[in-house]
Amino acid sequence: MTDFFRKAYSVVSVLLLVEILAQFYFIAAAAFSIWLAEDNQKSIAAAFENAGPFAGLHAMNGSILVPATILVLIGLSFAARYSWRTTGLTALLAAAFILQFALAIAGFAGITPVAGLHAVNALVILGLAAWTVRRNWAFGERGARAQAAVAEPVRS
Amino acid sequence: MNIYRKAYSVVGALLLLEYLGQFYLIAMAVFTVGAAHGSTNPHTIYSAFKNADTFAGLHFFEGMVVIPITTLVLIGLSFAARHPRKTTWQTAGLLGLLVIQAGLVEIHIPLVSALHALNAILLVSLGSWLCWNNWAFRRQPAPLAAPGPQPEPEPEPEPARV
Repeated sequence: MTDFFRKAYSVVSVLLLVEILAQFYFIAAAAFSIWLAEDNQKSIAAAFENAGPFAGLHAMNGSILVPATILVLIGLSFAARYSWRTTGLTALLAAAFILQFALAIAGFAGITPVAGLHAVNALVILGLAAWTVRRNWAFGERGARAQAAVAEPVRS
Repeated sequence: MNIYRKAYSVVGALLLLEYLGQFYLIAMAVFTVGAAHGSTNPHTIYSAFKNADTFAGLHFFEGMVVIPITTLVLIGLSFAARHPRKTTWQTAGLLGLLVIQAGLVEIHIPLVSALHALNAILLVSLGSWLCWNNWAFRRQPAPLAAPGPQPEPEPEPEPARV
């Protein structure tokens, strides 16, 4: 059963990685919708409206999908009986995400110099998620080795 | 030669800081434009767009002037430090990605230009990897021959927690 949860952990961590990459893509699509428009009041106002759906996808993915996936990943880390270190680092994703949310709120409150760290923290979350995928990959040769390690009786 | 390896590490770290600066600046620009969120008044939206000009301008200047120069210096230092060809090619790869990065903006199609952000992640990843693998300030006895970057060992799978 542990093997199943470890594989599920790997799949969900890849899904999280894809979701985070999509976040970068959505916000860049929103930004380019505006910055590639002609520099006059009418065009920029129209472009601002066109950017809305991309910004909306960024907001929805970031406030629903990503946190839900992180919570599932933390649960799977417990179910897969990973070490406290791995579970702690998975939980660190949740902490970094809460900070990310706070930085976005700072941005909407007009504290731009602080809000700029939203993008830097996004890179930290991405790095942590990528590390999680690599460190705990449960498929292929590494997966077989992990399964053998789980099957071994615990030495007393 | 050792001094060039150290210089490569320092300039590599500087390049990473510049990349992070780019993310920081563009986020500030986006949040400044986002201040007009919810408004339908074209004047308010245009004002917010103009307020973001400073940050967007700095992002543009750093991306078109500072980062290309730093990348060229890094390539030069890779030759001077006599790094293996693979490392020098990978360092030159940063310049290739930078050309793609500028090209993506010039395409003028938002859905394609948005790949600019994903390519930026590739730049940060490759830059970090090169910096980490060729870091010259680790406390290790200096080897006689100049070795190439050592591949990171595969992490061992974890045993189950009991």
